[in-house]
Amino acid sequence: MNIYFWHGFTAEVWMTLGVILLGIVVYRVYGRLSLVNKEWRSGYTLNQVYDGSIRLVERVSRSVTGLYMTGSMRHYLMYIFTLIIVIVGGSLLYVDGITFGQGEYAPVTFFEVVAVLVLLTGALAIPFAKSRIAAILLTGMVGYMVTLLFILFRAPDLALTQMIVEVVSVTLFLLCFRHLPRLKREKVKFRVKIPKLIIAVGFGATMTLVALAALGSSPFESISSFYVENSYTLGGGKNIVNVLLVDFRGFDTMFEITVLGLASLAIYSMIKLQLEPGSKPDLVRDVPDDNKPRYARSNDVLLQSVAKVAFVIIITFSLYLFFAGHNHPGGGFIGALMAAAGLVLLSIAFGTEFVQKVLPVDYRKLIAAGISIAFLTGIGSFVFDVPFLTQTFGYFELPVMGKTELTTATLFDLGVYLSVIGVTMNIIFTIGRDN
Amino acid sequence: MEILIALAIGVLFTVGVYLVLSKSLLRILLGTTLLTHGVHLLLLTMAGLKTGASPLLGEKADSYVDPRRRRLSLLRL
Repeated sequence: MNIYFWHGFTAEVWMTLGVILLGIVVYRVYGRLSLVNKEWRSGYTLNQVYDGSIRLVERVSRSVTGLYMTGSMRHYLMYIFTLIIVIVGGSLLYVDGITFGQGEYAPVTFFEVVAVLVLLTGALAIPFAKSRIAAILLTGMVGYMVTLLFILFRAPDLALTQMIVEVVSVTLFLLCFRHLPRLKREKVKFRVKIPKLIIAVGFGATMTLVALAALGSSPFESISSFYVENSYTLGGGKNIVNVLLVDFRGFDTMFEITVLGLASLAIYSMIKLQLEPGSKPDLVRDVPDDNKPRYARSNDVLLQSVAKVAFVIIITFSLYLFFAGHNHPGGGFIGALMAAAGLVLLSIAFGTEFVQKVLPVDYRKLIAAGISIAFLTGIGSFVFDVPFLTQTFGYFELPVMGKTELTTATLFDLGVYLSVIGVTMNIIFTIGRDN
Repeated sequence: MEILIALAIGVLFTVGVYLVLSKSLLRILLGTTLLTHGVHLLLLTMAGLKTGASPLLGEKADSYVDPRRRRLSLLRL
């Protein structure tokens, strides 16, 4: 390769010279042109054309975006649901993923059919319910039917949890009943109603297809056989679900309770922050003083006497669930929900102030204590030079109880237990009390 | 039985989505509740119904319950 300074008079040199000449000419002429064309140029400089086109593009794009970004939650949800229908349903159809009638189906039994029918009736009746109470109770009915199905399908842990959650959530609904808007007969035009219906039915159909498709195929060997085989030998417990929660997937559980705790603290602060001294929460402001409900003390004697006895039974059962969890249905999570349900019963019967006075527990500190216990059990495994959150178990001879199995997983579960009670009661008392 | 449950899941999702798309806050809340019921049943059904002894089924599903509680309570605000 050779490099020269001078190539002779090539096209490039002439072009360069031409540009220079042209520049000189334009510079000379420019002064005169600007005098002649002053009016004309001030209207249409390139800068203004540029600015104008930018403005035009902005206006067009804003009007286009405005067509679909309406700021209405419903519309966004509609897009999401439609996309799910198209993508999931479409791909299922595309790959021919729907396998119908393959695999072994469980036999249909009478009880299950009844439960499913009641569930369907309840679910379908909700949109037609005329009053708030009816709608809430119908939802509760659906929930209990789901619980029943869990029992029939042999998922006792899930059924227990579901049942207690159902009790607590229906109670919560009724507790903040007053805050909820009255159900109006929604007079919607057909033009609005039809797409809603289509999307809803389409989504339901897609989910049915997904369920059927999931039944028909199992591309990988399920991991569950590992848990079934190793739950007793490695985890020392007969209840696979519980061993899974506290041992195999202990890390998941730990952060789950952390997230739960943070969420409940967020709820607490969101509600309490409105209660600056001297100001009332927004929800109450427009209620006249005589219409304010008297939550202070209910005087229902029957409820109070039953609640007193039931509370003891519920707490005992909750402790039983907690300790039995390792080998039988139960566990920290369910036990804690049970205890929370007992506290809710007590606070319905006697009022939340009373419960706070009798059991002066700071539930926010309870959350922190629970999470710390769970963390510390994890850290404790470093002392024995094993990875974080390794659980162990052994059989000991105790003076009164004889041969007893003791596991570190129980300690971890204690953390779960405390923090879940803290979370639940924190939320319930915060929502229930700010009346 | 699975087909029946699959249908039930479909109905739960249909009603749930319909309620969520409505204007009233209460309906939206109830809609989310129904959706979670649908999800639970779906998870349970995917594992296959009645294929073993009790604790085998719904194994991971248990831990799905708490996010649901959290969401319900959050939504209630």
